[in-house]
Amino acid sequence: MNAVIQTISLNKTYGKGINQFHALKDIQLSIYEGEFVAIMGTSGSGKSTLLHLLSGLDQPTTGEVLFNGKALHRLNDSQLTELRRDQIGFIFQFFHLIPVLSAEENVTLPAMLAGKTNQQLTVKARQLLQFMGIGQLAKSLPSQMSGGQQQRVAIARSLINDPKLILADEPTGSLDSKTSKEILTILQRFCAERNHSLAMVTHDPHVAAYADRVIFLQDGRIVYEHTFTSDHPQANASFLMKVVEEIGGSIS
Amino acid sequence: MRQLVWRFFYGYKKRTGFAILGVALAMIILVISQILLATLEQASELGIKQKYGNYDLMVGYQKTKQFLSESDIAKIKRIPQVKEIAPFYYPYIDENPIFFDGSPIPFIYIGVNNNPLAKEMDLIKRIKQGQLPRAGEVVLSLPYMKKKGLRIGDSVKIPFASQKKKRLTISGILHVTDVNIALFDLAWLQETTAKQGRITMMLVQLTDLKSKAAVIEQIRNQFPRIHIDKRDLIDKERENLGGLKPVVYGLNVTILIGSALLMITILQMSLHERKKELATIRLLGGKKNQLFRLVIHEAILVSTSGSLLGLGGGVGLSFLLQQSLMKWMALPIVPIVIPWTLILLSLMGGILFITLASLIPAYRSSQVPPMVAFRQAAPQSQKQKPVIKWVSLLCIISSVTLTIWNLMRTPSQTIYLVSGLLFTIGVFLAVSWILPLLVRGISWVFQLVQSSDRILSSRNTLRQLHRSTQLASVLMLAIIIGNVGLSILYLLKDEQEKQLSEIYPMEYILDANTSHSEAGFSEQIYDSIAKLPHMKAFPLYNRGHFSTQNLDIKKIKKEKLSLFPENGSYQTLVSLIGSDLETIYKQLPFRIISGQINSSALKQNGVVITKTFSELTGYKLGDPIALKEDTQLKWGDGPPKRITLKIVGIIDPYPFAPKDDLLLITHTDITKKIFGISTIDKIYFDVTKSSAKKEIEKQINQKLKDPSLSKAILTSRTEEFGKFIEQYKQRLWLLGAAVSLIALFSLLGLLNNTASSLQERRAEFAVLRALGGKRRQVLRLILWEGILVTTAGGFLGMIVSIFLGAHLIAALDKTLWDFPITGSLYCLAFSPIIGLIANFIPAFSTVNGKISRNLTTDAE
Ligand SMILES: Nc1ncnc2c1ncn2[C@@H]1O[C@H](COP(=O)(O)OP(=O)(O)O)[C@@H](O)[C@H]1O
Ligand SMILES: [Mg+2]
Repeated sequence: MNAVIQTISLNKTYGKGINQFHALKDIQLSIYEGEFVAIMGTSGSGKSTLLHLLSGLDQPTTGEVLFNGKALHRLNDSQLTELRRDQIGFIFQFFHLIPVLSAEENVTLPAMLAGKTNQQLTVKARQLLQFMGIGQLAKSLPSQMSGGQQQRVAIARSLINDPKLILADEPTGSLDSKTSKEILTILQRFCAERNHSLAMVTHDPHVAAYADRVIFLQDGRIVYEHTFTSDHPQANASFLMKVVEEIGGSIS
Repeated sequence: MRQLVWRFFYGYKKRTGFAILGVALAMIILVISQILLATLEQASELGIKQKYGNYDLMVGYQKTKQFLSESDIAKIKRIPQVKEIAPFYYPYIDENPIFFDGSPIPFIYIGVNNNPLAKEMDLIKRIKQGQLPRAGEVVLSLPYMKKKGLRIGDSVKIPFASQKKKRLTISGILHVTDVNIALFDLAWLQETTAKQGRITMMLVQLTDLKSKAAVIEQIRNQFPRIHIDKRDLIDKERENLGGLKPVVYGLNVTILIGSALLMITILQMSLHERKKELATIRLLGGKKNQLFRLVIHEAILVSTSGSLLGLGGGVGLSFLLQQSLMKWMALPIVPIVIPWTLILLSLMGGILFITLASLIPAYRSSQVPPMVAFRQAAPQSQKQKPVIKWVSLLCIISSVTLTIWNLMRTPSQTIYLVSGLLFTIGVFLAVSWILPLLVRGISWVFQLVQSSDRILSSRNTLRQLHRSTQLASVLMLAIIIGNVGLSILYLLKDEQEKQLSEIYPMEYILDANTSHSEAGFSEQIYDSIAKLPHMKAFPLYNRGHFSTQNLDIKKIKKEKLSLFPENGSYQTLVSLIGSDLETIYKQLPFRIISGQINSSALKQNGVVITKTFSELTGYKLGDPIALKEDTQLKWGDGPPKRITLKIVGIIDPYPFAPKDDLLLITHTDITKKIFGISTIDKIYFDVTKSSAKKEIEKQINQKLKDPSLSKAILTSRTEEFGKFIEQYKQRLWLLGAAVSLIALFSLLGLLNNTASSLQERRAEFAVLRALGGKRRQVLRLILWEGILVTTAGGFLGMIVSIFLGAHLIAALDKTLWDFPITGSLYCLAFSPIIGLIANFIPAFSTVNGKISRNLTTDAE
């Protein structure tokens, strides 16, 4: 199997002198084509920092990130931007929809930024929204939608450019558990169908249970890694809860 | 409470800094303009006094027979506004010229009192050696002194008309070149010529310049035939500054309004950002009025510290600017004058005004219930009361209706003025609902050519627009003031040019500057000037004043003619001049509407009239026109004479007189022989070789030093226009400075606005970057937001400028179709740049901020 993304002894420190803070320590991680990796850890353990480094939104202090074998630090800002635009999809905890754009326009935004606008794109956006179960809201503004609906729009947005990798930072963090489950199922099914890789930060074992593999971060280090053999979310979740207890430190 | 104010003040340094800067800038201008105006006034007054002498009127006679007696002098002295007089006596002004041995030019004798005011006269200032004569002393002019080898202290024998000679001691030398003058002590001269108490002329100094007209009238009433030199030239020079004042004050007021608007938006912005804090204060038990007071305290703090800064800066800058300004305006350099009371008053007024302006946002924010303030994540758009919308629409519609109605009738200038102002008020009231429409329109137009991502900018602009409305109004204000000011200045310049070319059909006018029926230049003087090299000169003879005898009352335009009853019917006053029309026609062609202008026809009691004359009085070609000399204004002695002339031609215009002058032109033979008018009022001339101009001006000015010509003035079109252009440029500069300052206010406000709104939306822009928006792309989007706002404001400003400008010009000039288009287009082209600059710095820091950080920090 090919690694979509691979890190080589990634380190990230913030600040200088006595204020220096080592947020990521020696991270070795590969995510393979079509794989769904859940990243768990307590608050402040470095999960978001890791995602930012993976997408090139932030630069590691030492170490490298390879995307499809290409080192990110060799790319200039414009190339990185294009990479994010064309190959990576983002989903955020607070949805981050653009308030002045309708659902449909929000979905086509990455394409719009690429200078593409055509009828096909709009059709595709409609289809994605349909797929997310909110086709009827295509013309609505974010302020007119519930949190779950907004996150569905955000997911559709992350998929519009058929990215190789989707990075999701606590996508269900602001949603209730029922909505979370629905959204997660959709996302997982979609990624599986299209062979998209998915890296998702979460501290909810029930969410992580849908993944192929789980890694645990603690104080910036990968302290535990597990590949599920079972496809049964319920079983996986109870397993994860035990691990969390063992590693100690309450999650969230 | 006070502590809280200080905390807010410090906590929002940048914002507060902007507000203070805005206030300080306005105050600096206020202070500088007051100081410089006061200093300029002082300097120009000083300059005028140096140049022309410190007296306000010259009153007297030019004939020996006419004089003021001691009681006459007392009468004039008794006029309350007369501060001081200086008497002069000319015993032989027009008869019995006295020649000294060895001098072909006669001597002019002048008696003078040794008093400070007398020394203000140009002639007396020329005693450069020695001193004013006492009894038994004389001051003689330089050429004679030199010729005779005389010195101060020598004794000379001086002849008098009574053939007696008197021995006198020379007390001083008068530095004049081509005339002979002898100055004596006034009382001594009066006694010697046996004319005790007589004076010919006096200088008058007034307590107050404003009373000039009143004093002139009082003197005229008592001495109807007296000649008064009003010294108009000086008043004209004073006017230069006098005219500057209202311009400066007007601009000051607009600058103050601009800065108050800036203050309001900045306060609003900072209140909006602090909504949560303010709400917390409310929740913790702060009362509404406490909150209100908090904001007012801050406003006072800002406006006071801004004003103090402005005061310091203004005074400092005035010191820096003063010298160069004085040089630029060609005024003597005087120590700076600081009108403290005026400055402090206007500073206090400014503080009060700005603080009052801040009541609006203060009141608004204190009215928001605390929970609402907490919940409001997105800035609430301040819904304008629909009443204002309807009022604004009403204003605009009624203004347009008024104009159309006015166009369909005989237009009234007042209606134009009202309509223009109504429209302007309407638009300013309408800004908050018109601006969004304009932004939509402009983005719609640009959507045709621009990339699709700009849709984001337009929508964001619309969402944020309520914050920029006031600033767009400030920009509009700048544009309107600039354009309207410019078109009015242009209009004035055009008018001036037109007027001058009517007054000056030729480059120069040498004006004898005498009153109605007083002799001008002699023909000899005219000849001596006309025969100078490279000269093309025409005489304008003195005019005779006649009343018509056969006016047909049915044919005249009554409202334009002043009529008086005579012999049972109504007649009017006209002027008759002798002129060589044939020669003038060859050099300065005018239209001959009908008939002819031949000298031979004119000599046989023919007369030519102007088109306007014919229109006003109803006389036609071939009509006889019966005239009788006016009793009061007649020339020479004897009873008034009568003449009947036949109209042989009608011309348009007579080049040397205004159009509405009721003028009859005949041959000089008639005016000279019958009415004895042989002197010349004005000499019009051109110098055909431009390199000779300087020399000829010099020669003529030399001739004018002759005291008998002392009143004559040489003026030229170029010089007059040059003076005007100088003023025009000053005004242009002032306007430019004020407009730039107001535009700067809008720029500062927008900068502050964008900084705050981008700070709120930083997560949004980080998302754009994360989703693949390039740096340049996002930068462009933000800049485009600024451009949209200022372009919309600029567009609106342009519309108002064109409308208001045209209406104001119509109100001044009667025709509506003079639109200030060019200036408006410039402004329209310029306004996007303001938005671009205002948004550039905040936009730059936004796109260069760390995406990851901005994504994770809570957007609120
Ligand atoms: N820009 C930054 N500057 C300094 N410290 C940071 C910055 N971003 C994150 N950190 C610190 O790094 C640690 C990891 O942060 P983060 O990756 O956001 O954790 P989480 O696992 O909760 O997503 C935290 O302790 C945070 O305080
Ligand atoms: Mg996180």
